[in-house]
Amino acid sequence: VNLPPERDLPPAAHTALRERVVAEVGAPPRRRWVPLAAAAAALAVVGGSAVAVGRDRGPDRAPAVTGAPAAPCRADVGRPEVGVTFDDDFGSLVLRAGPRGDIVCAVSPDGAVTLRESAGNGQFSAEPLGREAAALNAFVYGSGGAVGDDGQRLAGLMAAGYVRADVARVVVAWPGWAAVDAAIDGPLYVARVVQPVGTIPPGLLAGTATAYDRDGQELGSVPLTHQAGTDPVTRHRCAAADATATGSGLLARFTDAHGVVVWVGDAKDSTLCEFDERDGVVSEGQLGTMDPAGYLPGRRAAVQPRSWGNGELGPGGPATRHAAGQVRRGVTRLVITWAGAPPVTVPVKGPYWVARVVLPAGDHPVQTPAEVLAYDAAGTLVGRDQILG
Amino acid sequence: MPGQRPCPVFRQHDRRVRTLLDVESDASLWEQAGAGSGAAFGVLFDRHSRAVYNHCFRLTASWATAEDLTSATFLLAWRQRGRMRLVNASMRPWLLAVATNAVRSERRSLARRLRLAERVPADRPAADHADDVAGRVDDERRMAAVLAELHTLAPAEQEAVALCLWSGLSYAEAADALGIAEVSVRSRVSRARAKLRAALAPTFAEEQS
Repeated sequence: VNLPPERDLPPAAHTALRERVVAEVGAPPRRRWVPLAAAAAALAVVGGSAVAVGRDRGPDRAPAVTGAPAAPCRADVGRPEVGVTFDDDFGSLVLRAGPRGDIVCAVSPDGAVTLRESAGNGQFSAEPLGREAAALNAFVYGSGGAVGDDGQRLAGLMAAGYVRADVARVVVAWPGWAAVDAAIDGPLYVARVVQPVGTIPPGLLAGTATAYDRDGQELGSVPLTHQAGTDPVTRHRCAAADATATGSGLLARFTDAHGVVVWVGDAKDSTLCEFDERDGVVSEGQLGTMDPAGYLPGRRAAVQPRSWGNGELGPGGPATRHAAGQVRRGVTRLVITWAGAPPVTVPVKGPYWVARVVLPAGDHPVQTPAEVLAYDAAGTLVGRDQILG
Repeated sequence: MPGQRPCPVFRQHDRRVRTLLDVESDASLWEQAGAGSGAAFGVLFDRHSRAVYNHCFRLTASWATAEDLTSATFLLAWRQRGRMRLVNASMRPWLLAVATNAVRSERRSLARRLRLAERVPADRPAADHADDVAGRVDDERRMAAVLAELHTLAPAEQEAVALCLWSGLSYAEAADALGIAEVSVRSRVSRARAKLRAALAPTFAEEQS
């Protein structure tokens, strides 16, 4: 190929660009987090700090433990309530749990809540571990994405669960990638780690949470299996996809005034990716991993929701609800009504569908049921189902 | 002004920069930049900006966009400095990988910016008489034709071509910079060569005739 010859930067441009990048060296770090969307029944994680890679016993720094949950993350989770806060360079991750439910919030260093989400779908309401139980468990293993104002894509992983009373330290590790000391407060622990997407080794799916006593003796460990939500591999998929995704990898697309949601993947493993425009920032994220194969059993219902999730269009921005699923042949239109929101009409072309509703900013319920109605081309109602949390 | 002598401070600064440019390794400069030395980062810019600029041009067929992306590449490199990896003692492969990612992001945001541009009156471009404007326009036309063929390849193959065949990285350097196996780079380049050869053969025949 006969390429044009190489050229120098024009002198004026060279000077201007040089001054700009040199000035950056002395500038304070800037980072603006854009939480994307949470995984169904799990959560997204925004912000965080990554530490040493490949250490068996985790990093040496002391766990970041604070007492009172952050005020912005208040929710009616019932009494008695337990909470734990993980602090890092980019803010806090707050987990609160009680008999009625649980909630996790990401709080930026300036106090803004950038994520507010159900964490374990009620699992944290279970009783804390007794004296004879295993040293720890892992109720949540979620992940999500964020972008800084420089466009750098970051991916976060989180783990949380209960610990026995004699546990003094929990190290959450993804072998070959990162390890971090969890914060422990009472019966709960929580940890998160965020790294640039490109650092995630292919195939990294599971980590380990290991508990130690005050003397450093290992008390036990649990695998962080992919319970719900996204895994690092799906993050790669969204990073590679864009709003114009086409071809066999595209299962469904939904467009509204705020942007585009695409469902990409294959029959065994798929991902929802969100592309939004807000204040000029395009955000991307994963909503969850779904297995669209074989979930229309026996009688093949006209419509069946497969997954749902909550999110926000940027920090403090409008709240979102997402759902995705499958329809029987002949269904051409869905109407989905989330509680308290106007109906959303979804044209359906294939067996898969995805939809989103955008709600005003502010506190929103941890879980929201919705109803989905299926119509054929003649406008006849042919099926209905509920989207449950 | 005739007869005016440069300020001693500036002379000292110039000497320092020259020393850095001639002697210091990328690793040393990077370390100094990490400690807050703008001069060291400036030298890295001087050393590698041409390669980044031309790499970005080859991926965009626009010198103006390549300027923006060159700036973006160095800013991104600085903000992602924790990920920097030297390949054969040089930052260049990693910078080119960062530039490749910057181009990818640029494409993604292009539509949004185009919509914005429709609402914003364009500034009249300032002519740079020292530059070969006509030559640059010709470059862009020629590069656009090449890119039209390149874009028929898979994105990973496009990047491999740009890094190895156009920007001169070895397979090992490109693999290190991209964080993938060398054999993957080889295979991408090989596939890309075959596809491009088939696609461009008629064009070459036409040009030669």
